[in-house]
Amino acid sequence: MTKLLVVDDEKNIRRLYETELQGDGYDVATAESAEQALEMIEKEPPDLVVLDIRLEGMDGIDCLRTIMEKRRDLPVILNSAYSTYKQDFASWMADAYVVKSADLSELKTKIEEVLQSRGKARPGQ
Amino acid sequence: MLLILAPAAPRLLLLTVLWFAIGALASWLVCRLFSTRSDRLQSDIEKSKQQLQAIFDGITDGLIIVDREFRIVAVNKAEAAFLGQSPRELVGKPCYEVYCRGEDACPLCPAHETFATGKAALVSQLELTGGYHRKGVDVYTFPVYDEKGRTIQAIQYIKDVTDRLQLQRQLREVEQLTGIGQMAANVAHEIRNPLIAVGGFARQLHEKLDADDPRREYSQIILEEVTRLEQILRDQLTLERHLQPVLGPVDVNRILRDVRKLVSHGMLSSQVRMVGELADGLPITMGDANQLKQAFLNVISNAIQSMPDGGTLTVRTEQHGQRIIVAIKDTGEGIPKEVIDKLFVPFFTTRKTGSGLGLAVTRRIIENHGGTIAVSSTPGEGTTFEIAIPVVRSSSEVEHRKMFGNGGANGAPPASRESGEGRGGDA
Repeated sequence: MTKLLVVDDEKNIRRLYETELQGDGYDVATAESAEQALEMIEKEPPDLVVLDIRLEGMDGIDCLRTIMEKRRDLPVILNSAYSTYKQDFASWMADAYVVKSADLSELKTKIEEVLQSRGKARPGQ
Repeated sequence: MLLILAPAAPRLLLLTVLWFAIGALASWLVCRLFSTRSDRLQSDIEKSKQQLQAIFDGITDGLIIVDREFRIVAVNKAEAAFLGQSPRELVGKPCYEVYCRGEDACPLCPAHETFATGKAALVSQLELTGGYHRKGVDVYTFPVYDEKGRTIQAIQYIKDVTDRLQLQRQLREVEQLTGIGQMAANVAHEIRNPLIAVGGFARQLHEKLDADDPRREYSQIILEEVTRLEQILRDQLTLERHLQPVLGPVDVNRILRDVRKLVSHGMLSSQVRMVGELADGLPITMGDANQLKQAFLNVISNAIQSMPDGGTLTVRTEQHGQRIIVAIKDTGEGIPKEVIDKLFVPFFTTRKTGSGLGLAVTRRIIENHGGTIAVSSTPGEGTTFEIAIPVVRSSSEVEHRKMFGNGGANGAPPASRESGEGRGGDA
């Protein structure tokens, strides 16, 4: 089963993404901080990371940089309430940039696209 | 010889006559001598007086001299011209009557200090009210002593600092704008996350309900309202996002034609006639087409709204040296002077439905393109907004112009015009 790691410091957002993405057939793990996420990636690497940018402690951009240094092949989708980070040069390292919305369809489409381009199986396939 | 030879009686007579003659000659000589000197003295005094007056009047800032009762003793040409009266009319009047229309010396006047201490004094950036074009002044006062060293008069040097005050006001507004923008961005972000959770779970509930379940109506309402709130937050963040233009080659005339299409519907209903005078061969420049469209749209919609009973909207473009000028002129109700000053202040609005962000955003956009926006208005006759954008060929030039202004802009003859273009909405 395709495994996703959702990193967000808001409990209810994590819960929302978990239920929605599990509903689409993904195996979903969540982390509330960049530090926790990096630990989890080390132990049990997922197939894709959905990464919030504004986080307590290490922020999403630094987390993305660390992931790129350690595991270049791990796809990351940045997911932020801000669209301003889109212009941040560092965020270009990510596979996609999705502005947060109550409607998760854009995020879901991007997850599928990124997995497909990386040759990873989509759920149910 | 003659005296010795003459007889005694006539000799006495001759002597007397001679005496008188010598006396008269001497006194004439003395008189003559003294009167020449006094004439010369007189003309010297006149000459220095004229010289002093020339210096006094040659100074283009305001100069007045007041006595201890604050009565004007002298006033130079520049100050008299500013006050719209002749120096002759002003001399003898108390200065507070002329400047403040008050009954006593203005409390802020630095002459108080000069009279009290016998030393120079200064009050800077005194803001002036009243219909004068001079909005702010620095006033310096210097003492004039009598022979005993008492301060009998004060020279007031009045320097117009309107430009400096305007610049400071603009800077304050930019700070205000930035501060408000950041605050709005933070608030928007704080609200957005909980909103996403509310909307996301409402969507899940909605999808779990059967199509004929009456509760679907309620969940539908939640979803619609969440979507609306998300849109409002996006709009709120617009101000912040406007800071960074995405540059590409833009054709200003084309943008204006697009804007005309956008507003033509509103014009048909409000009987506004639109006249386009777009210059041929306007150069392509680097800019953010969407932002510029937004900027022109804001000004043009304002212009249309200022003509509820119909009128003419003229949009003119031309090239002046290295600048593209866009003039948007309406025949509307005009803008009162006190409103013009606040026109570009964020959240300032005279309309019940306006957000007060339109023109603030417009100015921000134009300034981000290294340009300027100016407004002139005559109440009852209409308003003209003049936007000047430098012609730039690369994005780094835009950055440069933003930082260092529009150097090299000169008044080359404007390009020929495409008159009557886009005439429309003559309903």
